[in-house]
Amino acid sequence: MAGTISAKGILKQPSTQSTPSISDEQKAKADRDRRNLGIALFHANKIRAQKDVEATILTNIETLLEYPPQTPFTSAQASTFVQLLAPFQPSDFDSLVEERTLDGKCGYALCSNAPRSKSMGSNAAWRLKGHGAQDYCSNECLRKALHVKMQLSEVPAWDRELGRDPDIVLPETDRPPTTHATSESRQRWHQSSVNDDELASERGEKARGFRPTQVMADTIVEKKTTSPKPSEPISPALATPHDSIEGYIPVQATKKVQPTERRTTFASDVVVPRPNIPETDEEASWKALFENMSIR
Amino acid sequence: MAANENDREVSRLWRIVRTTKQMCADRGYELTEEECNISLDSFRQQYTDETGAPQRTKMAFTARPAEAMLKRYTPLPRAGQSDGPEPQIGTVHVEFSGSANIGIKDIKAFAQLLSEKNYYTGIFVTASAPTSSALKIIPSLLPTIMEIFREEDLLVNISRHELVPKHLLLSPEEKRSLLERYRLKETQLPRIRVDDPMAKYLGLRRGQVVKIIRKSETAGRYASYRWAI
Repeated sequence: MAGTISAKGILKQPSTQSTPSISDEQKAKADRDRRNLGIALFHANKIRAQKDVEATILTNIETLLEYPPQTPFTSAQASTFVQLLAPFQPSDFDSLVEERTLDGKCGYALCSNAPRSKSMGSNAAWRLKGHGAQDYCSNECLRKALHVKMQLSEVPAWDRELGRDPDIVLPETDRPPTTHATSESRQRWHQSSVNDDELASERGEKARGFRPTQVMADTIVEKKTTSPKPSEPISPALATPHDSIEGYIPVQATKKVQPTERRTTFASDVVVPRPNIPETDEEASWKALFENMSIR
Repeated sequence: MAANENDREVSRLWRIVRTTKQMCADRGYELTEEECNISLDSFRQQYTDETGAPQRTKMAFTARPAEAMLKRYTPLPRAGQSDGPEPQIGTVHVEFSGSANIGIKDIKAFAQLLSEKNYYTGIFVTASAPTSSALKIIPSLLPTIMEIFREEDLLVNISRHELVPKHLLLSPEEKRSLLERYRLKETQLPRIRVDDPMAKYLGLRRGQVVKIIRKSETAGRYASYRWAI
């Protein structure tokens, strides 16, 4: 009987079952790697986009240092000024004003006069009231610059949503005369450009913008609520007063609030008669209060 | 009164210039011993005008890297490259500015000078803090390396302080052998920020490794390594 048993190799045979399990593991690993790569790329792109915007802002500041190229400025220059300001935050505008003042120019970039800190000399600091008034050639320019600065968005440009760059309007005196006539057409143009972006996103194409493509989709899906109906609103009589902490009203140190005035009481509460507190001695009153609390 | 003020300013600038030169010598630039430890009297003779006021423009100097420094800054040869790699260091130019405000324009002008004269590194010592946007444009000036120091930071040579251990910059070869010796990746080393005062003093760049040798009560000397980020 023993002779009929065929010789069998003692080496482990490559089993057919183990192969798919390894490949499953590998597949899972590859999947995970791919997902991790995607996340890493997404964040790297985000940082890149932010750096790009910061560089743009810096070059814009450098360009605006030389503004205006001639006086009086043309309407084209005014519109470039507005365009260059679009990615700015108010703090960037402040550094532009600072740089222009150092360079001996009025802080408002459409004015080429010297700031009062230069023209008035050392007197400017005490003769001019108001923050930053010496950085401009006149109060008129200060007012105009504030008018522009107020319209800048506090949100950094790389965090803004697509097409959310603020629509900066120059002060009336600096507005090019053509703007009034064509304001309607401009509005129409804005309307059409917005529509283009919407259409592009509908087609699944990327609309241009500072933000990189998101990992999350921006479509909002309403969540179906399956929870039971919310309980009946508590009647106003049972509602706790405004100063309660989870139904408990802390005891006040002042003598106005007496323990009897508390509207809610806990079952575990043992009513302890408050000791007579001499009003004048503050230390004694705190001590009594602590004793009162520790008993409870 | 004016003379007294000038004296104060001269001795202040004397310390600043001395520290700056010592810093360049510690980095490995060719500077003589007497240049680095100039006496106050000879400083006064060289760098003041008739009225006794210091002249910051006269203090500007240029130094070439010494042989050892060139070697320390030469990257490892890559496989397939026939000729040896260029050392990533060159002449340094140091300028002192006494103006009350440093803006983008001043930085740009200094960068222009550096690239015209083909200096590898520029050190700008300012009496006042530059504006924030002026500091931001420095990374955009590459390949020229520009470092900005405040005068008040150079009054004292921090590397000579008794609590500051000795920092030594490792060459790429030394760095490789260190990583091999301890079987490390460079990311596994402890780190030092490039804006650390000692890192600024040595002009560290991202990815370089410094060896820090400190005294130890138990071991006599203790060496640790920091990866600059």
